[in-house]
Amino acid sequence: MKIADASSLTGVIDVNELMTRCLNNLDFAERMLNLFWNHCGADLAELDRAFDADDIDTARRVSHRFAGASANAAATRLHVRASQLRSELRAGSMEAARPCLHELHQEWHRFAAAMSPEQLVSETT
Amino acid sequence: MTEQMRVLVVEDDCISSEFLSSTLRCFGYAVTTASNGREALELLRTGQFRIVVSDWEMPEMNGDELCRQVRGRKWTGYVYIMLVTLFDGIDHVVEGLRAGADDFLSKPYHPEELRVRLRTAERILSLESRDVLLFAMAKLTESRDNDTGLHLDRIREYCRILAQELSNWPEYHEEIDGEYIQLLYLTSPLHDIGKVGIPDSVLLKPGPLTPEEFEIMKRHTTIGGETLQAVTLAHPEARYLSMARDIAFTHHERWDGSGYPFGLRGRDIPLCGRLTALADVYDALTSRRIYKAKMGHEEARQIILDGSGSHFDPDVVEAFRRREAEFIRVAGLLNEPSATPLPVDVPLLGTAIPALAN
Repeated sequence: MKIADASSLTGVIDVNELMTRCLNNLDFAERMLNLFWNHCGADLAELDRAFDADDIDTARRVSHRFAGASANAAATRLHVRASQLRSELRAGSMEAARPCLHELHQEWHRFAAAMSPEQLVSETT
Repeated sequence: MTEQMRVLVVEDDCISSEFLSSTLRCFGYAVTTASNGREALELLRTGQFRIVVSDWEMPEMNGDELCRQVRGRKWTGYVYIMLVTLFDGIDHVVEGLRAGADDFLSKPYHPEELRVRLRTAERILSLESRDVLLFAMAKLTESRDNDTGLHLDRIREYCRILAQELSNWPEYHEEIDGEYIQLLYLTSPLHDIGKVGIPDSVLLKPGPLTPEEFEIMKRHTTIGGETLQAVTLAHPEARYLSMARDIAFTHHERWDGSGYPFGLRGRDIPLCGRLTALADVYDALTSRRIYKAKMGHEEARQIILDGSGSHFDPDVVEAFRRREAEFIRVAGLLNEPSATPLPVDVPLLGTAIPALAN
């Protein structure tokens, strides 16, 4: 994703915040955004597996990581959803946390649509 | 050209790690990363890192445990630890600082906040010259009494071991934190600083002291304590000075009140004095002196155990008992490289402990 062309990011990424956090360095910001995109899909899949296995420790750990990463990437709404999930899991109930996981998925779909893969500049290329 | 300050970033999440590392590199730091506390400890062993920026929640070893481990170990220099965490409750801040963290930063942090906090870290680390000078002062004292070899090095190790053990006991959680252990390690070598005021004829006498000479020797506690008290009054904010003063004054006090110079009893004796008392006596017993042979660990151990509740604080003796293997290890590692075997007819002073550790 090239931030300069990314009007679609409005609403999923606070671009000003991301740029501030990346010292107004566009390359740095794009690298972080792509890193976030590449890794957080896998984290979401790991969360699903943890819920299926009723593994609250893994779910807590991954939700914590997701919340931190989304905060770093200025993915504001994803951060709110991940933080809610993390709070419920810290309170100790997988069942109470399940709706939060669902909402996180929905928010991730919005994020993914904005980040459409064909625009993605993979770190490996 | 100035050398880049090295920073160790400890973070299990690759995104946060990359974010932090890139920001720090932009600020001009040389960055190395570790993905958990255990890996960080291994890297810290190299002595290359003075600043650690660590996440709190990580697999294998959390950030607060990393702080405890760092503070409980001997490092060549002070390691400044900043914890970065999503936790925003005051409880976690208190818990982290108590574990020995120096600073706290909440995610998501503003890069400028990170930058100024790191500058503070660098400023504080520059104060370490203070620590070096303190040890140099202690060594200067020791140089007058060249019979004691690596005594100071062993004393601070023994004190650290004892304090580290007690820090795990619930009743000592409040009193002994990471900073306390660090300060004790720093200041315990000053326990005999008052010996600079003792005449050579007494200090260097190659044999047991007469009662009059012993009275003169006892004055090293008040000479040292009063000197440090004067400095403490000028700098009341410096906790290390008040601890050094307490140690100098009270490391010859006894639990039952029969010690000197004040005849303090039980917990009226500052904890740092009670810890140093045992460390000092154990070292005196297990070291060679010009007037006595070195005693083995088992014999010294028995004297320490027998002194529980009379000479020594029973809790400190129990801490010694639990960690005695480490005492043996330190004594072995820091023994006298130039020591030569004593003639067999050198008299032993046996259990005359005050004279041994004076």
